[in-house]
Amino acid sequence: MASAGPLVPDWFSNAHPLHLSAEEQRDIKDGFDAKGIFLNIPYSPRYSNLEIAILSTVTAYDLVPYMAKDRSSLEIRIQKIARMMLQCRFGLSDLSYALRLNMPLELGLQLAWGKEVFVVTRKRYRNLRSISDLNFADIHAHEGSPDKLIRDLSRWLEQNCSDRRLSDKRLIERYRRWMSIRRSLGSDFDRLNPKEIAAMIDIAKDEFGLELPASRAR
Amino acid sequence: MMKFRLVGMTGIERVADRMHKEIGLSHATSLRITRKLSRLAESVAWARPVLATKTTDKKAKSSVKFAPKKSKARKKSQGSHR
Repeated sequence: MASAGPLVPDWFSNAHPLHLSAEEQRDIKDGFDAKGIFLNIPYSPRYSNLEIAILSTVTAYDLVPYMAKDRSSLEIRIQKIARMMLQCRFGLSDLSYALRLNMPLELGLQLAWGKEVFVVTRKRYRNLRSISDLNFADIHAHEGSPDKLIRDLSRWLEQNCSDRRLSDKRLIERYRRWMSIRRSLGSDFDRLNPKEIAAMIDIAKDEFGLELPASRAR
Repeated sequence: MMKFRLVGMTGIERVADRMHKEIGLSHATSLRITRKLSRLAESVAWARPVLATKTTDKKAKSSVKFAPKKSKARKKSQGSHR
């Protein structure tokens, strides 16, 4: 788990869609997060339980999740996503929604930029039929189950990202409590980005005693 | 085990203010989220008991009105009768 510095592609011409200005290149270098993980996942109510499973698990390993969830700014989305990816050392791609080709495109960028990526899908081997070049990689299958996703993701995180060792039982209990918080906050929860959620949960722990298993003592 | 809720609006407002400052949420959102979290903490078994906290807000403290002592009030009324 040697710490890798940021790769900043500075060779794109001005006309290239992913061209980075000198200022943007400097921001990526300065803002590089060695514990950052870019989540390339569907933003859909149907995916919400799996999203919580991912967020609760990666934060248990002290990783900082990044997502391009907010669409309020006028900047071009792919440029924003590319900058976020470059600032993160790790990546996670879910290819479950086979009809949305954004995810395979973003996975391709992550792999090309040398990120360590956890690749997951709903059904085993289904994506390999359409992206056979991914045959070299270990693609996990969650089968729509948050518990299975948590188990597979935690193995991968322990092998690639963290020295922490956490039991499945604690991680699953942590997920259930995150879900309670999500249910009680409703749409307010969905409007927060992962960083804001993590900060809000820290405050909830401090002020209301809402304890989450596997949280590191502050 | 007995649980305590943050006392009155001052406790909720203090936590909401913390949320506003640390996360950058609007006042209204912070207050709404704080209220919901407080209700959740009351309803789930896994919330650790938290002692009610006193407000550190000087304005809130100074705005507290104390009722006059009973003994003095009684003496005055007794005097007027004489």
